[in-house]
Amino acid sequence: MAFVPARKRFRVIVGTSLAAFTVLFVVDLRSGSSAPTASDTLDSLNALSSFLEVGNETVLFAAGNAGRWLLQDGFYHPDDQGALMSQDFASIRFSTGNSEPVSASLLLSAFPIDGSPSVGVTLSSSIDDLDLEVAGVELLTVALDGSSAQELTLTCRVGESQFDLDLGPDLRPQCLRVLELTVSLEGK
Amino acid sequence: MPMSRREKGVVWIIPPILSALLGMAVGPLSGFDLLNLRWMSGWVVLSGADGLNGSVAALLRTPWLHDGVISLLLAPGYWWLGPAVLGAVHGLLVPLSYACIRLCAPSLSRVGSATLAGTSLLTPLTLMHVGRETGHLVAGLFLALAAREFLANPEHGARIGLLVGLAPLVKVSAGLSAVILGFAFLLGLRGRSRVQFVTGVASVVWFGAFISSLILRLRIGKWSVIPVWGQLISAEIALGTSFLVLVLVGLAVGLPTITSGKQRPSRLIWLSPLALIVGTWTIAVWIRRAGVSDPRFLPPSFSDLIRQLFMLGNARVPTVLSDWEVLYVDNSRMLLVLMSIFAVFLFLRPSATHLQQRMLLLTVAIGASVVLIQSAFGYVRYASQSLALVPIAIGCVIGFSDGRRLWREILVFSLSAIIILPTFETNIWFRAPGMKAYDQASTLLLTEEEQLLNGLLPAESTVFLFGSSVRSAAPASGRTDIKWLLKPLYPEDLNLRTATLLYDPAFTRDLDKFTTRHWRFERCQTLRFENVSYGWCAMKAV
Repeated sequence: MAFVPARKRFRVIVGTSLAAFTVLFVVDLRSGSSAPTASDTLDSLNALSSFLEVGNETVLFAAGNAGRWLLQDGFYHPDDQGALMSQDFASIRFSTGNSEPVSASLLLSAFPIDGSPSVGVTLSSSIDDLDLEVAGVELLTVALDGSSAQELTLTCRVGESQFDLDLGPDLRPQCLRVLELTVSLEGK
Repeated sequence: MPMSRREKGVVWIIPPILSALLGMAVGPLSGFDLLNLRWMSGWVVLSGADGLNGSVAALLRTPWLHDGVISLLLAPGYWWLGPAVLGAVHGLLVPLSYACIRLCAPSLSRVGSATLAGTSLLTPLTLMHVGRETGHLVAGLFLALAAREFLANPEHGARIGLLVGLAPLVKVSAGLSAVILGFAFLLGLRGRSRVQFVTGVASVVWFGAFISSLILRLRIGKWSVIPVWGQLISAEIALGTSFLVLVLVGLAVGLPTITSGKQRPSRLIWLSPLALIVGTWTIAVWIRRAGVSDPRFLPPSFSDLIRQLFMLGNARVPTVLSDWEVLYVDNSRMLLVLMSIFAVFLFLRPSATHLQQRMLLLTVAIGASVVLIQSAFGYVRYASQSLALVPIAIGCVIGFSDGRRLWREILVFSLSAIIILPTFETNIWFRAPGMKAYDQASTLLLTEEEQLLNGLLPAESTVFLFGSSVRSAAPASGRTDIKWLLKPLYPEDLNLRTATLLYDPAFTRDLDKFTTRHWRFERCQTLRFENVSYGWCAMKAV
């Protein structure tokens, strides 16, 4: 072993100890995130409700659009085109405020679009069911019961992945991608 | 041959800078290891968050100090800091490979040596790790340092041992490469250096795990058992073992070193590659029989293993898991296996010097480690730390070449091209399908999203994190008052009436693990933040 002078050794030991002490006890990993008050919690709950409200305009599900907040369980995080179903059951929840919704039209595509077999899907609202095979892009419309709070459910037969079908590198099982939602309101 | 100042400057500064820039160029939050459970496990200890019980503590049974460093890199909130630092560290593989190649093949031109060294980061798989991944290439860095010492200073057994021991500390799955290279070093070192090597490995492997466990105990306050490498052992045994390792280290340090001049070639050295091959085969069989590998990756037969190693036919790994592996076509492992076979034959040369014997042993070991991982796991990404050493193996074999210099140069450039060519076909900006693409912002949660999430997590409450992708919620929220739990426990076990659940909304089939454990979902909402989705439920005990 090479000889290390005592002074240098001392400096190394002191320096290492100081660095370790700083790392373990001084560095505040995330300052500023304090426990919430009751009003913070209420604000958060109110915010959640407001995110779900839709009007007459078409809602987009692609990344960066506010429509992603309508996506409930069963979807991957939205990508540039829309949101891909991650399991055979998924739902979309929305509210129309004081207006009465008459129908909901959901634009969706089979995934992947090119060269893949069609995907069997069932779109349901509280009063309507639509059952069909989707190949490519399809617009599906179901009737709604008029109440302000609505939930649409999607059931699909999950198939093989792009990778399994030799169509590309994507390993996610083939299902449906939701692209847009348009809600028709009474009298509008 | 000592490097000139200019050469040192070019070799040691430019590759780390380029790697750091590449790490940043890939974009914000694209480092998968920067955001997965490693962030949480390091953060939960260093931040003082109340989450060290049960399954969170289980995350920390293996050494976590490296994860702590990752958490520190993310702490200031600058997205580029992690990729830049990691990229620069990964870039050091190039100068280390260069130094090894110059030691093995000093007659090779500097440009040829540098080109070959550059390929350590230019295979598709290693390049995709630059600045994004925290373990494999860092472990490869320690192994490259050990290789350099093994070639240049075989009398420094303790130092070589320390460096080999650091590899599994930063990445447990890099341990197999460390074992095979360590075995080769043990065979290639002489006399006292061997003893010092063993004590070097033992001390760092033991104390690296022991010290991180002690810090954990300081936080939890339970001293009866100490988790060391996943095993819960009593404090007495832990202290006794520490004492024993210290005694061994003391004895080894006291041994006088032997000088390089006294290093003579061994007559029985030709047995070394045989021992390495037998050792590798034994470990591979043991791992396969132990059933620790994912059967979806394993090559079903010997011919499949050969097909994967030589990239023959459909070389894709048949897997349903999402990873970069499916896109990865590389020629480096094929060249590595060929170099290792050459090295085994070259061992039969009676005239080999001790340095040449070490060069060959190193080449065989690097090849054996890749073959071992491919055969025992069928998953070559676990061997990334060894793939980064392929140029060293090539340099070591080329160092034996008796041919004309021009031919050697042509050979080096040809082999470098063979390694690099698939990289041109690879989209290095690619984010593997199924993996989250955090590219919309520079922090995982925007400020208002962080406030929203924090509002939904009551003060001093208990929060279950269910699913691997939601573990980032703990450090991202920055909440140290919360008790973070990973396993779905009964409310009566925790003496609780209410709790919050954060889960992965993409996969909800297993949420009944809560409802069947006496919890009722009061209100649920999927939180679709800009970069990440969390499922949230307020729960009450039934």
